[in-house]
Amino acid sequence: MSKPDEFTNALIAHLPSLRRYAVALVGNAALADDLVQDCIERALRQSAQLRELQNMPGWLRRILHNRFIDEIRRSRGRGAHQDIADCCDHPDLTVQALDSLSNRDFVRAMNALSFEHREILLLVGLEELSYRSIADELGIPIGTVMSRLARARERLRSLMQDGEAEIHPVPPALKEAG
Amino acid sequence: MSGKTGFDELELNAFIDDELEAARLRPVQEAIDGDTVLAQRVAAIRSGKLRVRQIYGPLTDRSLPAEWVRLARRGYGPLQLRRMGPVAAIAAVFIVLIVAGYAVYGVRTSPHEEIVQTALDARGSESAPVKVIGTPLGDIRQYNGMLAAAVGLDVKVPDLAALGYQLVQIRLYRMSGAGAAELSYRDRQNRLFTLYLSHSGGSVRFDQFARDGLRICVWQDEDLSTVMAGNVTTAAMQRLAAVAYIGLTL
Repeated sequence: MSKPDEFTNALIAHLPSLRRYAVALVGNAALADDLVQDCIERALRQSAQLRELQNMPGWLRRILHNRFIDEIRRSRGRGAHQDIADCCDHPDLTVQALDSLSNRDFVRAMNALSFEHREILLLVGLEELSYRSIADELGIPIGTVMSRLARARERLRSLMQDGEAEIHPVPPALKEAG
Repeated sequence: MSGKTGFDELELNAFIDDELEAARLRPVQEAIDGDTVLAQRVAAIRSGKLRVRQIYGPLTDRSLPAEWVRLARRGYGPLQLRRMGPVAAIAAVFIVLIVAGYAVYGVRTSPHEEIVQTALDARGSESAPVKVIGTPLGDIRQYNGMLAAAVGLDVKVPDLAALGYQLVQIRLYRMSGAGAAELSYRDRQNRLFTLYLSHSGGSVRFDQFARDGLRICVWQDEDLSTVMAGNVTTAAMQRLAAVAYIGLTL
């Protein structure tokens, strides 16, 4: 286990990339910030669970992932409370409201992907992780990483080509997770 | 694809991600070179991968909320989590405007203008050092005492070898009567990564942004101000900054 100062410094160092990942994953800046702030608290509370500081980025992403699923489930349980769904993936609320139609289409297509597909595209393309690291982080075989990635790219291509991208209030995989 | 070229979709993706085993590189490359449709498909996948980085990558340029840094520094305490609702929606729109401004106009401003400029001047040899120390390969810890004395802070020379960077030079400066230092590292491609160290004004800051073709990370605690600069991706800067800051201070 790391010393408190080491842990704190590493945590602060990783916050910008965690925040970026959160925005890209959930598709909404305000929701992402709430999740990251919650993630900070949980990380501090659970710091003893982190054996090696070098594993912190993946560890933080897992906390974030779990918090996002919890939040979706909780919001669904409240019935009429649609605040998260209202925020998620709304084109005017995503941070990529942007300088070109094609970027907007790309973000829409990304947001229309299943959670798993979006996650793996971000881990490869944004976080620049190796297949091995992704397999370790997600707890899946490396072959699954490769097949999931191939399917995600094919789905993204299909969405971009056919203009299928629609705005999902909640990512499909999370609907299934509930 | 596999029937004609002898490889499948998974190998094609592995090729694009530099994950394909060496023995398979050549046949896959030859197949791509000889098939226009396949080459276009590879280009499209590469383009999509690049767009992920281009679109989402700059999100790290936003300054962190000060509350997050304070929260992390004070350790676990009561969390004042903002709940989603109209206020959050308004905040989101506000962020959209800021980020859209960055995207459309290429606005790049930093609240740390002075220290960043000083660091970039040092990197560009615009400032005259009082001493230059070449650092041949060896135990970099031998320079810890000299660095601490020069800067007047309990700092150590960070070892970035795990990230592929070797210390190549230390330059010492006197700025307004106080000591400062620049540590220069280079990777195998001879790319330069610099850390400029000086006394901070006492405020805590963490920021990362792009400027002059470089990625800059400003990391400042109550005592030490660190400006890191390199021609690296945001993800690489995150890793370098984390290892460098920990190495400096522990």
